[in-house]
Amino acid sequence: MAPKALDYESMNENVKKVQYAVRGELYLRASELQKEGKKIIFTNVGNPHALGQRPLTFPRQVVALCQAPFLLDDPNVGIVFPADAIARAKHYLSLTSGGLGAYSDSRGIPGVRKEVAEFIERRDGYPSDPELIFLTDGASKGVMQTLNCVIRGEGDGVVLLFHTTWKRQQIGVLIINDLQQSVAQARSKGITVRAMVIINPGNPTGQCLSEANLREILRFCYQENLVLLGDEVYQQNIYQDERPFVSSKKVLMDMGLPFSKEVQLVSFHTVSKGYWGECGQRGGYFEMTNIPPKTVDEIYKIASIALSPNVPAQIFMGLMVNPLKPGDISYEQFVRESKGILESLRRRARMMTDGFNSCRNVVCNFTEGAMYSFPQIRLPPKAIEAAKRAGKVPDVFYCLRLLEATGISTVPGSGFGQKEGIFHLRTTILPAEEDMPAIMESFKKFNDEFMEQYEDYRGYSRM
Amino acid sequence: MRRFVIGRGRNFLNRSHQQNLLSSSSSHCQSRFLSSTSVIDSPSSSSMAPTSSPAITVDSLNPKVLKCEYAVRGEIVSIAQRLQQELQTNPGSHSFDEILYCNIGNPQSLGQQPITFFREVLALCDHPSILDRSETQGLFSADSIERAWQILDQIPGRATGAYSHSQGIKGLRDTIAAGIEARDGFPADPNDIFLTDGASPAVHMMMQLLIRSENDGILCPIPQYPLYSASIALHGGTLVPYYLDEATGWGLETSEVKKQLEAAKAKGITVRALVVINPGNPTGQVLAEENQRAIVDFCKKEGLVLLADEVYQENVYVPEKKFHSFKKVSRSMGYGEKDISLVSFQSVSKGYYGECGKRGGYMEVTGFSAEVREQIYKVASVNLCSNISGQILASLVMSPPKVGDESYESYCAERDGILSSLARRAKTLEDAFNSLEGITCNKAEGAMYLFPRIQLPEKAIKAAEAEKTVPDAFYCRRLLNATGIVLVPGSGFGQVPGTWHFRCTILPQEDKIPAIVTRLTDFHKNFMDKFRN
Repeated sequence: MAPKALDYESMNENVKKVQYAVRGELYLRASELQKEGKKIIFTNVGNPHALGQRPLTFPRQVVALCQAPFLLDDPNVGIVFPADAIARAKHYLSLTSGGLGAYSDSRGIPGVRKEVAEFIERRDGYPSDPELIFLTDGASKGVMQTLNCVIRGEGDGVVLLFHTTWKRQQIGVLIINDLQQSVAQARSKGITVRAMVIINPGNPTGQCLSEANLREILRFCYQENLVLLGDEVYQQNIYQDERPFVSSKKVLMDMGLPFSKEVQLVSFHTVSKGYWGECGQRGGYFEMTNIPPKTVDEIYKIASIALSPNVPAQIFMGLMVNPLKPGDISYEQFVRESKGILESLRRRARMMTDGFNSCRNVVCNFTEGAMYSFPQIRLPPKAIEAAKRAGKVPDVFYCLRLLEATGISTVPGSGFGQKEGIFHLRTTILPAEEDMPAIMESFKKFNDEFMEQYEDYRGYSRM
Repeated sequence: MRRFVIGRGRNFLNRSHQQNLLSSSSSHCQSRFLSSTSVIDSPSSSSMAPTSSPAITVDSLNPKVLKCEYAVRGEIVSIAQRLQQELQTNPGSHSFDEILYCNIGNPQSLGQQPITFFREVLALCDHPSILDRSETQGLFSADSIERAWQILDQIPGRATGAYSHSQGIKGLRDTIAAGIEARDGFPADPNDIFLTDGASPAVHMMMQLLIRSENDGILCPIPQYPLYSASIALHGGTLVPYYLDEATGWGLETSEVKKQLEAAKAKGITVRALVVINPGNPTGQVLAEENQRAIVDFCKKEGLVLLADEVYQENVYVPEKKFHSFKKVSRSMGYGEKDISLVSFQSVSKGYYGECGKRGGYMEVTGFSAEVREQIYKVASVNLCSNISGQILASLVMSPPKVGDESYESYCAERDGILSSLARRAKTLEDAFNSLEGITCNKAEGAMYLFPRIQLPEKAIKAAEAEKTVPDAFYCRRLLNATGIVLVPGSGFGQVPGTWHFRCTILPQEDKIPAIVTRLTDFHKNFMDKFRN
């Protein structure tokens, strides 16, 4: 028999190189332990509903009705579903070309894209063109499609903004200095730098970029002719009042000519985060700015191969960008539910930050936004040695020990990238509020004992 | 067959490009980085060490993106959409009053109704809080409520809005595995199943794993569903065509496949896999079991991965043929995990359920080493998971209502109604095409399409050339402009060079079919009158 066509050796090297720590080693170990009966608290991924956050009622009512439109003909439907949900279901069904079961336009239902455009316009104060908005099966698909267009081969580079170590007041200058250095370094190695990615609010750090920060970044992209990919999926998750979310598009338009007509920008959003947390629907969109029509055509062509994004999620997206208004029957419940979630997230962000900061050798910036806490763990040299002996990267070693001791499943900082010799872990702020104190206590107990075990006086990893 | 090369090269030089105003090398015209000739060569940006970066314009895009094509939603559809808008803004502007989309296997967009039971379960899973209310029982069938409870119990926290396991919810995979076993008589392992947003992403995943460079080839049937050619192009591989035999009802001969395999090898191509679409798209043939056995043996002998696209498994219209999965065929030959690497694709978009918009599907992956499976899992995990509603639907499709269930009879009535209607439409359209001068049409044994062959007169071919159009696209465009009927030119699927075809779905509602036949017949007569030699 001839050798197998697909074995590990004969596989695409790019696949082998790919790492996705969020569901990598720690997650796999946690899943194993869970199967063995250990209680695991999964804080590895921003997956709110898995940790008890309830879905918002109204969107679920609307989509349920869209799934089963024959309900709309039932005289008793009004007993179980409020009138505004019924009306909205009819509205979205009328926008489809055959209900939820038909492929839509490959870019998404035109009527929903129009609602997205209107949302963007209300948010930013600048017009938005539905023809430049594509709905996707989650923002991730949109990111992959865009990168696939931009990256021609390994000679092309994409700049990723790391802002884990910047102090607040230094950000502006530091960003640009760091960026210029990185880009120059890449070019000296023969790499063509094509794009820059920013995540705002940041993942994993949660930092919210200021308008000044964004202006500097956009100016840099203009100078260096980079397309900016703005991942803004956490735009609803803001836990401080000093720096509200401002979109890259708004800042770009505010800058006026020549920037507003020259800088290429792709902005991403989702129904998975915010206070909706509808990860399982896989709903997202991207909006293109200053991308030439022929390029838009090519991106449309790629989208058409996948035929269409899933229709139920498109309706979730419509509902998210076109929410209920005062006076609507379900409005108060919707506001109550939404506020409840956001305020709780804010409280949990605080609880977690304070909890980490009370631990030995742990320093944690406040989670300004997004859904994560990214504490720095100052590992003593002996711990680092122990990690090496175990054949593990130091933060992986720490996180595995944390997992075994407490059931808390995190993602080691090495999965996100960090400066050499500096270690972090990422956890989410999503566990239920009532469980938080116990979780933080459990962490503190583990950490302080770990540090006790490995401390000596030779010095530590530090900033 | 159609050459899958860059058609846009000629456009590169025509549009304006972004200049880097601040760069000292602005005269370099960095956005011309990828000229039309270098796109054909493998891209290597290290041949120039740029000091500045080209903006994102069409000539600086990934050339693989530029190279790939997907005719099902290609040019002809853009024209159709334009015409549709014209009809809306200016009724009476054309000799037809509606566009009839016969280009795409999208049943519910043409009036096919979803299966009630499936939608009941999905609605309840979308809004589980109503399950606690007594009024709900008045709106939903008892077994749909029961099934919804069963499914929700398999989902941690009953959270249908949470990311699931990257292969899909375990309990749903158990159900699907049981469904596969019931279908085939051979066991299936839920760990072999990867739930995806439709079958297409699963195909892409396999192409990504298999293709290392353009020296890797994938054997594809010609004609083929252009997802395969597009995916191979996107992943930088080489499509190795094998021709289905129109004269024998689109038969698949392993001798032909072998011939193409050897020819590819002689050119230095490492052929990695064989794609078989059964029932076929666009051709509709259902393979005979002995044919399938020969294919399995062929793959085993040549060390090829068998990629079995079985999304039309529930669309078989002729009593003399039956669907047999390649998994069943392999296992019935005594071949197990060590003997054959097989990936089987299924979808919720076709069959009698036609739930295209849900994006539900899976691949069953057997006969690979643990290391390879880890890598498949890893790739799946980057996207986190497929949409949960689609996952639930896939499990429903693989385990529909059974005898004794409250919904069983209505489910059967709906299912059989749709399938028998599809069979009737397939026959009516097949007969209609065969009655047209110069057109021959093989029977649609299965799937959702007819792929008639048209003998275009020389005059028509010349007229097409004058318009710089492929002859079958020329015909389809004229047909569209005259009748509003949207077909896909055969060149979008591949065909024996010098032959012309078009693909027409059998999906318009039965009451529309007579009008389609009339319009088609009238158009064709006029066309032949005009272009007959």
